[in-house]
Amino acid sequence: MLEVRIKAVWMVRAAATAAAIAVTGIQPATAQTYTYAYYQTANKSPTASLTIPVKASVNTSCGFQQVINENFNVGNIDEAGWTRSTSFVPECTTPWRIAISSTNGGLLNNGAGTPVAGYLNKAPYTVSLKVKSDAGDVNASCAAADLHSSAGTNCTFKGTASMTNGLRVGRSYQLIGSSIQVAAPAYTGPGVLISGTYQDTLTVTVSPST
Amino acid sequence: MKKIALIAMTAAAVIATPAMAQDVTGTINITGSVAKKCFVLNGSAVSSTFGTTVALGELAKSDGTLRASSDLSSAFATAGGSALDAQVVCTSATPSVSVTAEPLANTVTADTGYDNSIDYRADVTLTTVAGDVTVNDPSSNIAATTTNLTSRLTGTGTNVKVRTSNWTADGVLVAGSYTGKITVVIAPGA
Repeated sequence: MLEVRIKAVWMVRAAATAAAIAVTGIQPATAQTYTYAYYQTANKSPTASLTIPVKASVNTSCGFQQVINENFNVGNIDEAGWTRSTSFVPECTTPWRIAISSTNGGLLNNGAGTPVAGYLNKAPYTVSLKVKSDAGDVNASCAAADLHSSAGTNCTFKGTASMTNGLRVGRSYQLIGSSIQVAAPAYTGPGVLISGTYQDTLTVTVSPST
Repeated sequence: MKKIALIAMTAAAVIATPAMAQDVTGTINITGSVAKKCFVLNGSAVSSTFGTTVALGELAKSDGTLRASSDLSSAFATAGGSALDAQVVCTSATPSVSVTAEPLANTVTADTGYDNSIDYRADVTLTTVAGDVTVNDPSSNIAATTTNLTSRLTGTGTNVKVRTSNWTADGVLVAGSYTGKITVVIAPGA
């Protein structure tokens, strides 16, 4: 009889393990599942029950329908103002965050060297975000200088997106109308921009939010 | 039962692992340019020219010959005042400079012993990051005097000054109006 009990216990463990493994591989799981193990001994109840609560969830996902990959040539930045825009479609199943970093913190003329007084090798511009979400539009605007790694905390969407960093947006899945806009008026000073080519790179990241 | 509970908790912990980490979902490259150019700054105002008309008044002494050169040089600077100084800025590093002085001439014919043309030398001083550079052009030479600066014009304050020297004439100056011109061209260079 003792042997039977030992086997019965073994059966229970096996069933529980199988259920636990099954849980990790099934998405989404629902409600509670009951797993039963049986054993029989003389003069005892013929059944025994074991209840295993199962919890599961669907992983949050966050990204864009299509990766942004833009190259904007904005012409002579000291002669005419410029505006460029790119649209994107978020696919985030929970509240999320978006952040942008600027390589140079402005349009930089790498070949100009260190400018002397009165001259500049970097031109400012503005980065504006408009994001559609179930909770409504989220708008924010920052100077590119505030998106550089060395900048302070003036900008709500500076840096790399994480659970806690970046501009927080409500759930937004395949909503049309989100965009990133970059713009600047013709640069007229103070200071004179040194001739040459100016360049910057913006990197956009997203993350589910806490 | 303890083992069962432990296994169940392990499963739950795996499921509760936070969502995917951040991904780079966009790159925007922006390029722009600034062309080589030179311009005159007057405060915040930008223009392409500077200059003034300098009225020297009487050019001759009581004996009809030209006033002393130093006297005329001083009169030129005084009459021209601050309009003879300018702030010129170039986006390029090594601008070129051309100076052309034209004699003060009178349209009245000058007979022997008289003169209807006054020569002088234009002295244009440019302040660069590396120091002052002076370009001298005599009006007796029709061709311009040119030079290429080896360093950038200073970006603040006055950096171009136009002055004169070496005023000369032969004989008695014929009566009438005398007009001349100094032209300074500062270009972006190569």
